[in-house]
Amino acid sequence: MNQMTNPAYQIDDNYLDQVEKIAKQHSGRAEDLVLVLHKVQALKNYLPRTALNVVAKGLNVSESHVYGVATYYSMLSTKPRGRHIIRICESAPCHVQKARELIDAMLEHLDIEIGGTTKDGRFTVETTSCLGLCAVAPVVMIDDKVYGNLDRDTLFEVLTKYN
Amino acid sequence: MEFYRAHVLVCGGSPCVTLGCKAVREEIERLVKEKRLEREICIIETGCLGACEEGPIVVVYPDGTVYSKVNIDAAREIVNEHLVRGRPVKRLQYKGKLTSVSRTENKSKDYFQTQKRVVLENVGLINPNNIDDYILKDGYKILEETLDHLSPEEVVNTIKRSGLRGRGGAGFPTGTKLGVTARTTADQKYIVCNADEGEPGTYKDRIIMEGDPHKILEGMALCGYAVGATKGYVYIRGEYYQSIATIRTAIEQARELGLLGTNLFDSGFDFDVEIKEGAGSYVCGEETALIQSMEGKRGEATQKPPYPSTSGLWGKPTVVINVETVANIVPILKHGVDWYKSLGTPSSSGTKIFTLSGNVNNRGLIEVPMGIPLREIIYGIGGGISGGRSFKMAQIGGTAGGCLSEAQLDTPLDYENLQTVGSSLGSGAILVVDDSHCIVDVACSMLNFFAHESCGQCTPCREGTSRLLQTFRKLSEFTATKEDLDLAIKLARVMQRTSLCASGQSPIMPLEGIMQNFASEIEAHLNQECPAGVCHKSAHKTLGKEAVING
Amino acid sequence: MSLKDLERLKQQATDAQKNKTDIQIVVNMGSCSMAKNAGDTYDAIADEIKKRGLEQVEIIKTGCFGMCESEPLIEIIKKGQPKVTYGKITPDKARHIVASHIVNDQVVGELVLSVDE
Ligand SMILES: Cc1cc2nc3c(=O)[nH]c(=O)nc-3n(C[C@H](O)[C@H](O)[C@H](O)COP(=O)(O)O)c2cc1C
Ligand code: SF4
Ligand code: FES
Repeated sequence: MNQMTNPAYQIDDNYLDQVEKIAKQHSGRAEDLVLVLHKVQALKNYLPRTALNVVAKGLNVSESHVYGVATYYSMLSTKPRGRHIIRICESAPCHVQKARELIDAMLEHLDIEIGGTTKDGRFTVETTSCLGLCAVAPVVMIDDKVYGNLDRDTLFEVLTKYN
Repeated sequence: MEFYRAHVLVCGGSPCVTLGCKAVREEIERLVKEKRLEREICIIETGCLGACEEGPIVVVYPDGTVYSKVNIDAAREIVNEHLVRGRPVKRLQYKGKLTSVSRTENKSKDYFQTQKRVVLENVGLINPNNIDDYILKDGYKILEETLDHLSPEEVVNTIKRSGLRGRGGAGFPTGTKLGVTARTTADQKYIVCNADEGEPGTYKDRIIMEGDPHKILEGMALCGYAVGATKGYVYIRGEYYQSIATIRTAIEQARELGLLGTNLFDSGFDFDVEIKEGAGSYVCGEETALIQSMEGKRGEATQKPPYPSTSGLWGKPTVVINVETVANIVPILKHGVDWYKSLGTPSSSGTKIFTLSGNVNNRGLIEVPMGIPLREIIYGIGGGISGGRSFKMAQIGGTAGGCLSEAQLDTPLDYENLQTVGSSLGSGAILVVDDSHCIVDVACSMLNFFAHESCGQCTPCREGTSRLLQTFRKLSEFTATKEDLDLAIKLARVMQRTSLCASGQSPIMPLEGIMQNFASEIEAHLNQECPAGVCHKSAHKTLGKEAVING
Repeated sequence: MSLKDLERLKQQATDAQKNKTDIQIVVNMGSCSMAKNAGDTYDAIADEIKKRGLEQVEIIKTGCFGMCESEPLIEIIKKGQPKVTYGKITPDKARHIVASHIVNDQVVGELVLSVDE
């Protein structure tokens, strides 16, 4: 599906109402910005520009400040992403357990590049620094679930659980 | 499924092998066969059962009878009496208790002799989601006693005398830090527990949070009492979903029982804790960046001084303390300074949690007294190098730590000794790399981390980390020259002096060790050769792409 | 909360401990355990216990003990017997252990990591 026609990426009033509701709960509390962005992102898996503006108004901070924070943290994205986020660890402890072969195999399997989204909008693949699961390296995190001791077969099998 | 009438477990840990458990097992097997009981009785060799001075140990199921010091004659008696006639041999039964530290596949004696669980005493043994389990282990009792008997100054002094040093990386004396905040007057002070754990190879804080969350909350309350803070935050990295959930439950349960909140134990002391979630940034672990992030800003490090201890969160005096450090507070107050100092070395007291990763057989975490040699951890508890390969390099303290070679394996692991070999204890991560890996390739992975995680506000770090990665990538593609390398090292030194925070200051740490200890391998790459056979032209398909684009 | 309350709570917890069921199955459920499918292992055990109506068995979740290599790790504690720890327990193996060790008192030797009290 084309990104622009995918309903997940459509911004409508209903969505913006939801964003506003979230921002209202933290109104005037600028220190909650990161938390608010987490909550807003949970709606569509990314942070559309219009949503950031609503958040800025709600928390009474500047739009540029919100944009600066949203682009700073690796878990937050201002670009549309797939329905599931795959985070694959590439830090040294995973690296010496063949993480790179796993990354390459997965990219080939899904036919995308790092940071890219599959054509069906199912997955976005991102690399990440250590997830603190080095004892079961190599490690992949899909949304909020972690999978360890993977090789290409077990990883591909895990991927089939998501749609 | 086959059904056996009885199972006989004979230990086979290495201490017992010398005590003759193999002969015992063989004798039992022979007798069982002779009596044609092999379809009814199953004989199993197990790992060490943890009572070596009493070995060999034999355990008979279903009744779970434990026999100790079993010799050949005793083995015969056990078979004839217990297995054939069903009458346990009382005379040979073991009276003591099998110790609880033998839970390892690793059949080495070192595992239970070297571990000393202080911070981790409850981890894996209690239900972290049930506060009753913690209370059963005398939880929150130290808080009560301290509020009742000790003045805040006495608490600070106790921590000072214990010699506890920060476990988050820098190793700063915790008592001194508490003292500074205690002396600063302010209408509000804060305790911030740093659970942003992002140093590659480190996962100790996660295991503590997921295994014994109340120990952290009680420790934070004690710190709060010591410095006069009534509010605490746990800053947990966003990717640690399970830690966040466990700590959240713990806070709720503690509040419900009035163990957090106002007027704790009728002492007039208030203390409450809240969670702050990160959103994925390594630099946020740095204390000033952490505070920025908590205030809802980009997590970028700020100039020190002022230090958080005098001016931190919202400009108020703030103690930023690592999870493992804060989990040491309760044990110190519980067992006393002398006991604590008896663990470890004179200058590095207490225990340290090390997290093993990379190419070792038993990856996992262990808690040992400070000062034990690296070799003992890798070959003892770690069970040696996996896949029958041999040792090449160990990196201590995470990606910002030094890279040690075989010759440095006998270095005792404490603050001072590691400094002498150009490393640091850091967070206690131990990454072991075997000889199938190329040092240049591993270096690329480390440098990719720095380039990826630079927060970008200071030029030496932002530009430098990308250039370093570029040079080492060139080296792995056989296109780098000696001059490129020299320049890179020089650059790393400049970064060390001019970067604002330790992230930009530290790439020199691993690089120096690599250049020194693996000079010939680096040299080979300049001559278009990779001894490990890993590097070749255009090898890096994915690694570092992003960083180089950004750079 | 006062000292008295705390002591009362501890007493309650101690009593609860004494009255605990005869058989406990401890399942490590830290993140590294979860990364190795400890969730499925737990579900398999719970399902097997329910299916067989084993009311005297309690399943307890704990954090990770630190032997991450051997996760998922489970322990069987039967009253009056040493504790048996099993390593690398898949859902199938877990069902087997329930049938064999819990129901029929047959330790599954090849999966045992250690035995201790
Ligand atoms: C780049 C960088 C990352 C850091 N990451 C962490 C971290 O993840 N966890 C932590 O406890 N300390 C981290 N620190 C150290 C903190 O700045 C600070 O020294 C520590 O939290 C103080 O606690 P301690 O005295 O108990 O160690 C980091 C420091 C730097 C420079
Ligand atoms: S040294 Fe690097 S990570 Fe630290 S503040 Fe400067 S740019 Fe940011
Ligand atoms: S290095 Fe991959 S999880 Fe730690």
